[in-house]
Amino acid sequence: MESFEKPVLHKLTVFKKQFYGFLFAVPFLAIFALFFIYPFFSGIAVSFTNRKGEWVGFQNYYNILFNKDFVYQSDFLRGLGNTLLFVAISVPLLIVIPLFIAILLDIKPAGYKFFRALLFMPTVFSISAVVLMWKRVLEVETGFVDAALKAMGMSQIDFLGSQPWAWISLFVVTVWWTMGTNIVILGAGLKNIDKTVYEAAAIDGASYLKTVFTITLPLLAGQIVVVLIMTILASFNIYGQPLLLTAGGPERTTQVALMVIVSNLFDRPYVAASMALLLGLIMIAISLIQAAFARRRND
Amino acid sequence: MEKKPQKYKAKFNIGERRRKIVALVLLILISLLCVLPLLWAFGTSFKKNALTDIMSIIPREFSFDNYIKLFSDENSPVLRWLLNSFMVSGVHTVLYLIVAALAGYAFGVAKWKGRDVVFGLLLATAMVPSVINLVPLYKLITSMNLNGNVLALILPGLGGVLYMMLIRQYFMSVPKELIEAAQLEGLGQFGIFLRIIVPLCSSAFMVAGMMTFIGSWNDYLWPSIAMAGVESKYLTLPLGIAKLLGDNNIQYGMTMAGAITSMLPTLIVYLILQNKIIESVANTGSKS
Amino acid sequence: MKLKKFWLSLAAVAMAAAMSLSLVACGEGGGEEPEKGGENPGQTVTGSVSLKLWTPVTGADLTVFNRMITRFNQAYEGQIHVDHQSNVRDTHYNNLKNNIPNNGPDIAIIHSQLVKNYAEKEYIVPIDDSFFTKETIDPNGYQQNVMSTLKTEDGVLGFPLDVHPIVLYYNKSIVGDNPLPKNFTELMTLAQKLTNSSQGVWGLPISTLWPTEFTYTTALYQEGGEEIDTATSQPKFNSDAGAAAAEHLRDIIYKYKVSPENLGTDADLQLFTTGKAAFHIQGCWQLSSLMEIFGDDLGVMSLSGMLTDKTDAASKYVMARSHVFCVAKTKRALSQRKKEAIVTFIKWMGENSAEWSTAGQIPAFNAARESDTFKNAPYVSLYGDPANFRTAASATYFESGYETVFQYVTTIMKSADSDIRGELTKAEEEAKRAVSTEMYG
Repeated sequence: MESFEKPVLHKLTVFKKQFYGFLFAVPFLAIFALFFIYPFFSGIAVSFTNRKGEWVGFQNYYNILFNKDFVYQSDFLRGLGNTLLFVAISVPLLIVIPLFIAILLDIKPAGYKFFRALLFMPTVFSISAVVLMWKRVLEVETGFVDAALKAMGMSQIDFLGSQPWAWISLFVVTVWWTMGTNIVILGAGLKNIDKTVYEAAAIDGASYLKTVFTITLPLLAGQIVVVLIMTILASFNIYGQPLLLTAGGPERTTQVALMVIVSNLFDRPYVAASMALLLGLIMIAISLIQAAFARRRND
Repeated sequence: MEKKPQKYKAKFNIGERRRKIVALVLLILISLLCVLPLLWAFGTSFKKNALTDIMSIIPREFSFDNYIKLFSDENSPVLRWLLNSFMVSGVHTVLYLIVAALAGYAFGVAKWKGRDVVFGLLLATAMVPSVINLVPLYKLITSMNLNGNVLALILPGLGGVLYMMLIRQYFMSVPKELIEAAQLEGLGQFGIFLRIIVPLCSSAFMVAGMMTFIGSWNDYLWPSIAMAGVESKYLTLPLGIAKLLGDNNIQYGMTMAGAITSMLPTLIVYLILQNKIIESVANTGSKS
Repeated sequence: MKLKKFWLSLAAVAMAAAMSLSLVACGEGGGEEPEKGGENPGQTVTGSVSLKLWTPVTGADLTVFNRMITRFNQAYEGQIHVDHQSNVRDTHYNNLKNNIPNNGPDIAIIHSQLVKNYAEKEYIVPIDDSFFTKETIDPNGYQQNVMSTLKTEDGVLGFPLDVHPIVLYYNKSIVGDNPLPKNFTELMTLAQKLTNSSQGVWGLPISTLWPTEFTYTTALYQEGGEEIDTATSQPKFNSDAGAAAAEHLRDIIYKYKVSPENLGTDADLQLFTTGKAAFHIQGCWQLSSLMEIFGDDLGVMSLSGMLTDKTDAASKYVMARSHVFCVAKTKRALSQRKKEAIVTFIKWMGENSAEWSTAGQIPAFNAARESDTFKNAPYVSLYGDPANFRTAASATYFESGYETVFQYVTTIMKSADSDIRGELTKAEEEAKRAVSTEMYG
């Protein structure tokens, strides 16, 4: 009897064990299914329907990309172009500037912790407070910079209402607001580099700048790739700055893809869903390419 | 022969001292540039006539009028917005840590059939940009009748994969021997989770908690959609300040007071916890 | 072994309990914030009808409007209670689209030019005979220009509260004894005279962004143009009149140089309030805040005939918008009692709208404009003849067919040598596409 019962009992406890282990994941998986999996598939489904909920195949995608009869076609392509422009310029800025500052901090001059804390500070402010402040700084006629230019006898610059100044303003605000994160992450990478390699390089007579380019940067490559991917994805989600600072102007040159998606959200959710999928696919494609590049470099 | 390396060492030190000075000067310049707008906004919020006294950083005529106006104006309940934001971000963070810790245990420590398959699928979804779910999520909360409800801000983010994976990674670094010893002592799964794993990984919660809180605090896009339709006093801070910004508003100094008021609480929290926060951010970079 | 199992299941139960507790706790946390603004637990007296009202009334107007609501609630205590929630314009309309018919209000204020569109999209329902079982409202008792845009065969789409035009404010201490202008040329001559660059004083600063829609449309009317074809919603602004109107606005900045370039929203208002502007074009809704700042130094005059040199009847038109009370479509049952309460409220607001004129608004209810309160209200009689206040043409797709033009006007106003006709043509093409997007997209 005993010899028969034992394996059965054993199996049962194993099952219990497995089941309990799974239980821990249940709350997370339930929420994940409800607020991620379900919307993901329902979003795809919605993008194939029209106003009345009828199945229309790829009609929405066709309209968005090619159908010149509808405003949202040009809106979306313009918005996508603006988002890509923002990504193309903001990402290098958000790598190079934080990297430069992180290297300065890594030299550990007096009070470097204070400077690091200070430069990281803006990231904890909410976007609307940041934009509200910068709007007052940059405004024509009543802004701080305007008054400063006037005091120096220089001509007025319409920072928020003319190009390329509107873009420049957006880059300044974005860098000011978000660079802290990258400074800190890159700084952590720099900290992990064994300081003796510098000393070795110094013994070899290499200048400091040369050491940075030949030793530091290659050793930091992994960290830079992480920061790069994070920054690219964050930059694709550009929304708050142009919405609140320039309202997409002048002449919609700063109206980014997400603004177009949101502006269609209430009136034409099926179009907005298709646009979001298109934007999302581009983001996935870019991160896949990135990953492939990173892998090839590692090999 | 023995002197040679020392000589180089000395040279290295001189270079290092010079480098430190250059770095210090550059950092001072950069920092000044970054703090200038903040100082100006701070000064402006105390100006009696913000519009006729634009340039100065220290107000020519000092007054609290802007703050008095801001707090007495029923259209800009800034303190209420702050409270709402703290509540939403706080509740969200606590719930997320509970849910994510349990899941982190399930995927990192516990063993069950299909665990790695499910985790692999979760890992794959981390690549899906959140923008894809924006529209259907809006439709979902509409059908759940959660428009304008704080639950719409708190719940969806609880399924976030990123920091769950971070917590899991910390959990996995707990030595197996400890877990086995606890098992021998008769601790069950939940006991192991609560008594062994969680206390050993408090830094994981610090990191994930801070990042979740800051993320939730600064979120603008989703709240602006989910909270469309609520009375002004139920808004979160970013939405409220955006309203202040969009309102036809001639109270120039008052809007600056609004910006400063909304920055202060996070600033204070940041000043107290700055080392922990910076450490958290540094860690997210290396773990992901 | 048994003991371990016991602990195990206890732990599982505890975990489940903790989870559900935390969920309940957060549910309660959420419950503290009412689901929607406006639910007033404890305040709803049994037997009284509760009406939810959403409006885009903001700023100084809001104080007066809330006072009126409070008075109404006092007058009908125990019978009808109105819960009012106001929002910035864009938010207000997004809220309506977002929440109707599930969580919408009972009554919403909608700008007159949008009413037809909201009826077409079934955000609002016509106020038909079934509403008027207890009391009636005579549509002919309201300003005809607005009312004519609200009538359909199913009944009336809404009842207007007011008409709000833009007006020309001036700073009396700057304008001094100079005779007030009567047309565009005179206005520009005086503005040039008063522009004093050494003291930073400008004759007539105008923003290129706001309230361009009012200024441009007024100029368009005064030049004899129309914004839209009412039957088809197709744009009609790309005309000689439309071009002349845009040219006037551009000339203020670049030809007469009486305004700084590139002013953003409200920068002109800020210049005016700090004594750096002689004239200022702004909505009548800013009256009370400007009175507070200027006191006796505030001058107000009509924009009638001021943006053209023509003298015909059309040159006297001033563009106005109108706040219209509409009944929102809802999934909840619209009981007969509620319908009656809605009519009671709208009627009361009309009859008492003279008070609304203290916020600088012109009541749409004719009798209210005959009252002493209105006649004694400061400045409102200076806005010009209400018969000249022209509200938007009544078209289903007005917003799409016309409002795209404003950003092109902004472009025109930003450069001395902008191609006016070219920009208007671009605007027209986009407006046409916007209409077709709304109809078929």
